[in-house]
Amino acid sequence: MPFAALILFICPSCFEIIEEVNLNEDGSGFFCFTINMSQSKLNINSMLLLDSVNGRPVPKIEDFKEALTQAEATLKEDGNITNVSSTKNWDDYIFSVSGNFKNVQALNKAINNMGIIINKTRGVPPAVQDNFSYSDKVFARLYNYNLMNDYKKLSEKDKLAFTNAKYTTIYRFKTPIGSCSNPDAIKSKSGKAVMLKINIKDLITNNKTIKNSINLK
Amino acid sequence: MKSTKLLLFAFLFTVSTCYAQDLINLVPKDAAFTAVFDINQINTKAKFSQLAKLPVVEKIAKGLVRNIIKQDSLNYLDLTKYGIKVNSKAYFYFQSSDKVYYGAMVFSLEDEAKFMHLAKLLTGDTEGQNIKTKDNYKYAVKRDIKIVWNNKTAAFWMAIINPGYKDSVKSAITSRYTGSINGNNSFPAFDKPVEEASSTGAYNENAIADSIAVVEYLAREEERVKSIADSIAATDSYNSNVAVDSYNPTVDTSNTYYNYDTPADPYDRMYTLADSVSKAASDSIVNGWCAINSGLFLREKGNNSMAFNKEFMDYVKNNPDVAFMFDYGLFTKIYLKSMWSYTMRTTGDPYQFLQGMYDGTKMFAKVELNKDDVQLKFNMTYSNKLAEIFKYVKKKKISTNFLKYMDKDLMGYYAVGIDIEGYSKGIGKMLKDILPTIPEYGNIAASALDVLDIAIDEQSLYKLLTGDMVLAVNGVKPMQVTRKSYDYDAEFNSKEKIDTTIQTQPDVLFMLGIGNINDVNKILKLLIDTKSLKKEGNLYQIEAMGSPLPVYLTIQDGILFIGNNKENLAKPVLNMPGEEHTKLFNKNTFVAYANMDNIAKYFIKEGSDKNQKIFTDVLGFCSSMSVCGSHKGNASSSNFVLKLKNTEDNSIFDICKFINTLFLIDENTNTDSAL
Repeated sequence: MPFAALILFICPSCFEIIEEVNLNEDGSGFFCFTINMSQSKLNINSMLLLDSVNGRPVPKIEDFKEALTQAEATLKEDGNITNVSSTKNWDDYIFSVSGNFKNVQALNKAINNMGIIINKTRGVPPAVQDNFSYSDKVFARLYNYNLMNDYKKLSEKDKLAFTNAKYTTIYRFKTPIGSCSNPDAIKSKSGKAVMLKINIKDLITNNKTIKNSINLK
Repeated sequence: MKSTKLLLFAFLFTVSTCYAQDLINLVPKDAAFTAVFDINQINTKAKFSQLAKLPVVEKIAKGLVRNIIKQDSLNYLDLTKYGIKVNSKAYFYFQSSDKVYYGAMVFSLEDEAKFMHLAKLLTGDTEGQNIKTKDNYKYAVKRDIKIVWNNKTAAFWMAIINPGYKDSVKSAITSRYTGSINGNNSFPAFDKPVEEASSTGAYNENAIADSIAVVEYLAREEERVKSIADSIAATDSYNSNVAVDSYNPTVDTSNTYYNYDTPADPYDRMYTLADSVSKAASDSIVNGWCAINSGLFLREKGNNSMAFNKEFMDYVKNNPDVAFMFDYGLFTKIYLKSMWSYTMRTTGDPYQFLQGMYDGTKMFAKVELNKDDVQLKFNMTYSNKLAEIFKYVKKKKISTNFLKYMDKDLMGYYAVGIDIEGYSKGIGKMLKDILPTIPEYGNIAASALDVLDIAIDEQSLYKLLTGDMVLAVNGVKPMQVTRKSYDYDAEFNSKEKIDTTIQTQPDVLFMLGIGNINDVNKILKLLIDTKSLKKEGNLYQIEAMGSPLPVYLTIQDGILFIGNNKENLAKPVLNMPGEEHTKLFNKNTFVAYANMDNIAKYFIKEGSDKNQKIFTDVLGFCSSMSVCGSHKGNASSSNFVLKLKNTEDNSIFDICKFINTLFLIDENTNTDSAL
């Protein structure tokens, strides 16, 4: 979710967020969050040339770079995540950050810390809450954000930014999956991974959710 | 602003039945700005009676008139009953003296008694108690509304203090008051006013009026200010509370300038007081000037009238609908006085140089309101100094070769032909003249320029480029965009793949005429070596321009192309712009052209709801806008043309209808927002 801040900054007309978590049986694991705005790169390039878009000032590319550097540094420093690495493709506007976590609590803390840094650049308070939980062989993707009111305040033009945007979650496990609570989720051939792909507009307007409770065998 | 609106309103709505003598004799020959309006012609074309029915005009008129005429407001559109007989030509002029700026709109009267009724309404003086009579004219004043008339002519006029003079007054008063605190609390006597001979008319009266007004005003303040200064000095301390507590001057409560909630610090208090007094003194100066000079606006100026200004009379001899003459030099002086600080004005030779450079430069303009277009033509004649600077500049044609690469459906372009050698020499000369006048480092900079002249092969530079160039937006075109996405295997492991999509982008193209291709290639080689350019076949990609947009460069046909359309860069188009553009390129040294049809079509698709409505209206209103002109030696000319869609009406009526539609869109949007 921290990447959402970036999106709200520039409102590209099309983007994709990919959230991947590989979970070990002991609750530790590996995560990788990616935002891919390559389909909107021409628009973003054009917007970055302007002072303002839809009445809002356009931040400078240096602001993004600084925010990403700070977020990465925070991940490295706070000790919740190890082997932190990031990729920044400024030609195609694809950014990803990955690392290993000891348990999902550490992952939650790291995400919230990153959110604080990114949101600082927007001057808005971050929503601090847990995004994942794992106990008794149940891995859950939590989602309690209510973005509907903020969305309503956007102009029609700004709302278009979310029309074709996608949110993809992929969770991989060492043991087979018994059941998933989200009806839009699909299991892999081996039954050890689950993928959920939804439209971000549906997520914001609460038509669909990324909330998912996965029972492992 | 209020008086300006009043003048404009009076001009527009009192002119429909007027035929009278030419009033040019009332306009001073050396006015800084003069405008003549051929009301009869404009009225015939614009149909004032119909314009008045447009909601936007009705709203402006009602709001304006109701604010100034408390009674009789229902008749706001029929001011002809107030005795105004607008001449076939009405004049507006603006003049500047050392102390006061003033201007007037002059027009003829048909019935003095009826006009006096209007004057009473405008000044809120129904009994006419404040109407003064002097010599053979009457005048009435209410704040910004100043009217003067006799039995055949009237003028709405205005006067404000010259900011430069206002600064001088303030500076004198401030130093006098603050100086009194520093132990020198005996006020020196004010200088007596310099009385100038008044036998030759109003201009000398000005000087007397100003001096008398300042001295009389300050004399009235003298005792009060002195008592304040005494009480402050008596405390022996600037921070003493005694001084503050005992600070109880005799206040004229009717005078709204004074705010006695001033700070405790005596210096601050004296500065505040000095500020108030200087404001009041400024008003007093203007009021004094106005009291003496109201008759000036109805006085025939004889040999000193604009009728004896040959340049102006030559310019208006073909009876344009509207014409202006603008003394650029004088306005530069006014601008510099208003915008530059007192210190900069009094210490810098560059100030004098700039004034001198524009002194004598004049701009003439005329408006032609044709059926399907509006044309605004400018001619500028340069001062001797500017003429000297630009004497080397030759008219440089814009190559029509560029048109081969410009699309007929383009959104707009800017083309310019610069005589690089002429301008370089002129600007070099100007810098060499002005730099030595700058204190401290001016001479060093001038010497540096001389050294540069030795080091640089100027002729090579002049021949590097031809000096003509075009920046064009060749329309919004679909361009192929590659993007990265992901494929997933059976276990949802992702694999990056490349997709291609088509997106629309403005096709921006910059073209520069090349003079010496060998030298240009040397520069390109240097840019490649320094990794500022990356070579891709015949194209170069610019990598170090700080621009996030992909920008490509290539050379062909004696032109350096820079653009974002990689596929079509330097490829001749099939549909070139029409013959009119060839003519524009051939005749002018600069052309800016906007194809309003194509711009409107783009924004109708892309804009917000409100913008869509506005641009739909633009689509039905005008087809193109262009500004073009040329510059050679000591003169330049330019022409603005707004081409309208064919309608039954004249262009001015179409423009008013367009403004009216925008007004209605805005009104509806505001209503929707409120709901």
